[in-house]
Amino acid sequence: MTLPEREGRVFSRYLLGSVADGSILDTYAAAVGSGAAGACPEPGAFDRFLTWMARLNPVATRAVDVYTRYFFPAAPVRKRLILMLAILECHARPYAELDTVDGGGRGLIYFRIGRAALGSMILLVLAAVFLSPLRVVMGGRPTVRS
Amino acid sequence: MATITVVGSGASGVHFALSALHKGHRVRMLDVGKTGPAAMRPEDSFTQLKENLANPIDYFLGSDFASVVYPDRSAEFYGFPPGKDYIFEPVPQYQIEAREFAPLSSFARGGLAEAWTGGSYPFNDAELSQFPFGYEDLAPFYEAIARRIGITGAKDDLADFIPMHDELTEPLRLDPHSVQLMRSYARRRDALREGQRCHMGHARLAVLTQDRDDRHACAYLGRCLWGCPISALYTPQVTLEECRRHPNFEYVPDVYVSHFTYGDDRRIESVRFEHLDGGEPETQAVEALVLAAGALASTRLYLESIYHATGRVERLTGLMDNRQILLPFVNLSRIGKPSDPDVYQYNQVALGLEEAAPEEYIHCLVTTLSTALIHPIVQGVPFDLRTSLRLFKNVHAALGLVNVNLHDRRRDESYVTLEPDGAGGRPRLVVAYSTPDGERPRLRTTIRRMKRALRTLGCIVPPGMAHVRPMGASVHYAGTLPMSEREQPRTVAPDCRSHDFENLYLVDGATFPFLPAKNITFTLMANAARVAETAF
Repeated sequence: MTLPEREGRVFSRYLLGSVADGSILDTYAAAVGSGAAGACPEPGAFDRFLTWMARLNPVATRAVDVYTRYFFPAAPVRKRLILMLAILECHARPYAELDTVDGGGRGLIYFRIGRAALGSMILLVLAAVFLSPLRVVMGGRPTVRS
Repeated sequence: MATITVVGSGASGVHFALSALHKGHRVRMLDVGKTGPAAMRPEDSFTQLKENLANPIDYFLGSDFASVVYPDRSAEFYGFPPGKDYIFEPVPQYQIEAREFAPLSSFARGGLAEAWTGGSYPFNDAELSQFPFGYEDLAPFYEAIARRIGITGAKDDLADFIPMHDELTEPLRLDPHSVQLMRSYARRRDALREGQRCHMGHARLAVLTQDRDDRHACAYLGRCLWGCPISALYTPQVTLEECRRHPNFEYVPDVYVSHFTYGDDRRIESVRFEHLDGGEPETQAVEALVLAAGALASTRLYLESIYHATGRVERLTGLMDNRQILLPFVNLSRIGKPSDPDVYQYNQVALGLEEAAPEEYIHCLVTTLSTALIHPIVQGVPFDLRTSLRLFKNVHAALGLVNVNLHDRRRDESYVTLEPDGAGGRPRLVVAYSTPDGERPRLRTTIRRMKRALRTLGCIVPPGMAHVRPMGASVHYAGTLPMSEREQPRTVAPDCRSHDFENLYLVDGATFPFLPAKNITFTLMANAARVAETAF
């Protein structure tokens, strides 16, 4: 399995909750391979580390994602995540999963959203504590900024 | 009867041409005329395309993924659809340098209105107060255009600001979110109208609600952004095809008109054009020349003609454009409801904010985002993408976007000129815009008013999400060669004949002496028909 294929599997699991179809993973790997829309340059060591970490598993992906969302929104790894999301939403089955309202009443929906948001914020703090020193050690900020 | 040469096939050009043909004139239209791909699976809806297309990526994102919106690109909420790339495809002859302005130019068959959203709002008397005619003079032409292309509308609270003319057809079926907004407005109508001077009504749209000729009634496919596959949403190519069926019409595509030549008597003798596929430039004699290439391109042609004849570089002041603000909102009562993708995708509801000066009325278009791509929106939510997706799917049916349009006035500081190439080559067009004094407070006040109105409707604007678009983004360019009753250089007469060249007419936005907040395309079409009727 090539790195973009492995990355596609982890990223689709992270975004969808399940691994996307083979054709979608192939599309993603081809897009990354072709340098789609500037999503690929990884000039800095810290950029490379973030991408490596995001490939580990969906929890690590989420930590990297929320960290880059706040500190480096245009980091290559976040662009790749958005590329994967864009590819997923162009296909009927993943799109249905991404766009189906959760069951339960409005109160339950608010509770779930609140819980997810709280989890995201806690993860942001943990990611910042772990990644910020690394950023300093690895030679500063990623070279791609918004 | 005259033989009239028209440059450009956009909204102004085709309606001028058709009106002139109806009067018995011969019309030759010179045009770059780039064309796009044929509609794919015209019977499929937005969601069916994802199921049925062999490669939906090509359709939605483009084979090179160019329509993916990344965080370091502009903060727009739509990726530009790949099927419409041809509309903004440049030509090498047209070089432009912009200062404080982000100009869009089109060399497509049908022009910029091939990518419009169909908003068709006539100007009222206050908005026409600087024009050499009033609404009553223009009304017959608004009606003629409405008869030609099909425009929906209803008499509602916006009729106080948007004149009701004949020939309007029934409004489109509103999507559930728009229905809910209209209900909220009805409940809080007094507070909004009297307390906030805010008014709501149906959008006026160049969309068919009944089949007509080769066009079909809107089938609510949710594909408007990617190009209506059944031509329910009007584009100028429909009228161009009608012109082409006329025996007195000649369409000359794939040519770029560089300039016109004129004699000492200030009468235009010929136009000079280049074929896109190369070869020697050609000169063609003209009897009457009508520039309809769009405000910037017509201004370029005008300036370059004077430059070729005299070596003089002129500056045409008064460039205008509508400042736009995008305000995404969440309608709290729609949270947790399923979103319906089988809808008309663009704005179905409009809002108006009254100002002390009636011509400064603020025009706002409400889009409910039912079938937009989700990744440009989700990435702006302040969480990780997984959490943002969970949030998004539960609020999708509650999301909307208000596009706020503000008026503009002619000022000397905003201008268009040429910059000659030192090596003797083709001069470059320079477009410079200067933000007027008081712009920041105007934007702040407008955003505050709109947020308050949305709150009254039960909607909230997430913090930090208001987006002030750069000047040039609305593509409502105007004002460089304005209509004037006084005969003075670099203006046109009320019938849009140039005061500088006796057989030259301009029928695009360059001639507007004032730019109201409303979409200008409908008025461009009506004015072009008026010129054909009154000047020829």
